[in-house]
Amino acid sequence: MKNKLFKLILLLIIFVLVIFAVYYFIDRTNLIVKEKTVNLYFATTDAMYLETEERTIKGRNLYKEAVNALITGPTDSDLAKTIPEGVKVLNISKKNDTIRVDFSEEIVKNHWGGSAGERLTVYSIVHTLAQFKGVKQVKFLIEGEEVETLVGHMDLSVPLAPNQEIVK
Amino acid sequence: MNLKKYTVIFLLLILILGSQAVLSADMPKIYINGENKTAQLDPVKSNGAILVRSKALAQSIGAKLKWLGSINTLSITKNGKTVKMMVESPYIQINSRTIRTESPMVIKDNYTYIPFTNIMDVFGFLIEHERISNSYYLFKPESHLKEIVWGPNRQSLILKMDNIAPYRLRLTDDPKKLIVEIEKAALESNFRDKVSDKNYYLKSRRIENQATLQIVLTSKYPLPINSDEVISEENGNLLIQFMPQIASINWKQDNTLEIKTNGDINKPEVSFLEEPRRMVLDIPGVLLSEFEKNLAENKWIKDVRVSQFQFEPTILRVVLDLKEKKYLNIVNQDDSEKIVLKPAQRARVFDLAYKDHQIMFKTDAPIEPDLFTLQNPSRLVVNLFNTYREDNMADEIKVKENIVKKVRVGRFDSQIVRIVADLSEMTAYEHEQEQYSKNIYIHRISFANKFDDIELLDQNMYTNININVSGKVNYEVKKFSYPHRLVVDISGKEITPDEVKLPKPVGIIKEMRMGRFELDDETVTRVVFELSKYFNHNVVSENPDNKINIALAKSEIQSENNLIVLDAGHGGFDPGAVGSNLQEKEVNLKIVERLESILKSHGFKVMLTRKDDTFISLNKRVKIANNNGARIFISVHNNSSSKNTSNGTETFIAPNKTGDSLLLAENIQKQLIDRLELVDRGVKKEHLYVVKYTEMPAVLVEVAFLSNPREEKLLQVDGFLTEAAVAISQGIFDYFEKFKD
Repeated sequence: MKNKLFKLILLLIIFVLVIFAVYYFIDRTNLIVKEKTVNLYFATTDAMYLETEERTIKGRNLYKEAVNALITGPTDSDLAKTIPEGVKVLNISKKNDTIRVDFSEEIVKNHWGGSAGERLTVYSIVHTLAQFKGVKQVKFLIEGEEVETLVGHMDLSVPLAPNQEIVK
Repeated sequence: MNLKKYTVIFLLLILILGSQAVLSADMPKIYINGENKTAQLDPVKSNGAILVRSKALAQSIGAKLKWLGSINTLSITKNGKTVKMMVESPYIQINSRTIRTESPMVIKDNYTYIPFTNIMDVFGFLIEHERISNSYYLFKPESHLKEIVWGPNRQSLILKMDNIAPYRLRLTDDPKKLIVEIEKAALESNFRDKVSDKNYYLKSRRIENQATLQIVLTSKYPLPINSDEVISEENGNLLIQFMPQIASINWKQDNTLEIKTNGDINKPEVSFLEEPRRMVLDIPGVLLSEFEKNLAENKWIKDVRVSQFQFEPTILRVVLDLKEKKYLNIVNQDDSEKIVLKPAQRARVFDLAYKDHQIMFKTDAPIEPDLFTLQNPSRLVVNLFNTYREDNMADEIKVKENIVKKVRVGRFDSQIVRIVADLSEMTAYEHEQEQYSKNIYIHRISFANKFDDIELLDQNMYTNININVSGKVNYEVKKFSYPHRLVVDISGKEITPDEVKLPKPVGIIKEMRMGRFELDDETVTRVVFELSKYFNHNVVSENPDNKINIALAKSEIQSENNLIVLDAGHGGFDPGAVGSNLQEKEVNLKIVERLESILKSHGFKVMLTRKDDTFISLNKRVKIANNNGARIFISVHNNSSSKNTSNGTETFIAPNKTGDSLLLAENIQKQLIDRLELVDRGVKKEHLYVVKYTEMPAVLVEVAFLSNPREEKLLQVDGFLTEAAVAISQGIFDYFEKFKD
């Protein structure tokens, strides 16, 4: 009898472990819908700093949802959006401590230009993604390609880490 | 109850869950009008196509669905269009047409599944497939092309749209073809092609999976456009502007030849040639096309031949084969769409003279002389077509000048009078014709290269010498000692020393004098500067040049590197920020050009990463500075943001270069704020490409905001741009001063 009970408990433990493993696997492939309240970083109207606005995002890939929420723009009228119209996130994934995000060409084509504009665009994305666990820096790609720069000022040939001086 | 059994069950569980994960990741997502309908449509793969639930599909596009069970047929109706399909049948009926499909309708779990791409196409939806996320976006086109027509005079093509959607014009290697692509657009159901005819053929198609309408125009002759920039919007339509084309050549009843085009044209270049006798007209900016030719029998022209002489720049060549001893002249008239030629009377040439360093003669009618120089010996030849010499006109004039030795006149043949000027050296020349009265036209031929003036400029670190000449000259700068003298030898000048006013000596220049002498069979004009002291000098100008520029150092400066590389941001297809009136790339270059001349006049060597409107990569800009060992690097930009209230001036340095770069940036920012009086956004450290990878102290200046209406207006004022350049240069000078300390 004891043998049977012991076997049952063992099976239960294995069962639980297997379920956990399966969920972990599924989560990796972004099939589970998750929800999180995050800080979205938008620009101040003098184009000097980034300020945050809280929002709850929901979806299978929270990195993508966070960036999509940034693309939608702020609700606060004292803040300005940092990503131009029509931009789509083509791909976003985490490798070690770096998030690689691939944007559609609208992020260049529809951009207003200027160092001020470009810094705010780039850092709003970096800071928003850096708040996720284990994310230290962000590498930008455009239409699947590595790029020198976004609109001619920032060095995007390497991943970028958050810049505390630009946050108010 | 055994372990094995349970293990198997659990493994199966994992397999099922796992495979579900894999499978569903492979299934496409379908968005209709922006809404994700994947769940309702339940896409299923079949024979390479995707099938979806018919009821859900019909519902999402607002169509009526009818299932005729007795004949296993489904019918979907919307807006008078009916699509009928039979289970397992490869044929789909659309109204009265039938098309074939590789993936017929199937029944699965009591639902009918139909191929969605054909169906959506029929009901006027555009389909865009995003490969990376395997998503299909279906939506109604944002704009429709109603018709394509010719503009007035066939000078343009008008694409009539109900809405403007993103468009682009593409030229190909084939000059007879052009392609227009309009995104998210479709042809209107009653689209009219009013362009295709015996010379032109229009074809339109949808680019698969990209929701883009493509219109291809093919023509019998090369198309009358020369760049991708000729497409624009006008009155809600797309307009493609053509170059003028030749329309007709007619010999008219009043004995004139009329060459007509369908647009405004410029004056052609005219030349006359013999053997065979012909008049060649090269008309710029006109394209060849089918044209009407009506040459009635006449006494002047045998035939007219037309060809496209070249592209880029575009030139149409019209050759008139002239009859024996006949000439035509272009008549001045008001219609800029045609050229009119009239038989010319022979003109009389008289009163040849040499006065005020110019060859002068008169004619009794306007003529187009042909001038060219020949060598061995050096001479200028002037051919006057369709003229005759007055009997008492001089044969020869001896000239006692530097450039012109002798002027001779002769008759080249019975129709051409030729004037030859024997020159002591090859030189540039200019011909002018002025109408003095009804029958008198005065011609003047002058020779280039004379002194304009000599300027001396005394500054902090240098005394500058500027010798301005009217044309490029070869020169040599020599330094002699005991006493210290700087000597500039200019070869081959048409000038006498007492014609130039010498300026008052300043700085370390004590005295000045000029002289002329022969050196190795060459005439040299020597300008001598006697100096009170000498350290070193720098020849800033190029050789040859028409502005000789020398900087004399006033104190002990190590013959150090004083190369400054200036970088005008953006350029070419990258305009930078775009305001309502300005493009950043132009403003940047304007400031850089002003900055260049200020720095040069202070004795610095300056190199520009770009001198004109061309694109160069950030990497290349950095290479130019690094490979040339620049002393400092300044990149000039103007700013922009998404809000038009942002304003002010800021200067950037790289985060890892805070020594010299910071000193340079602080000095430049201070001068800009003091002089331009905009908001001080400060000196900032940032990972900007060009200041990061340059190996010398480097700054990037953002002068003002193009997105701010007030600052954009300022950037349109020359004085403001000059002040910005002055400020940056003063910041640089202050930096060098402090650096010396």
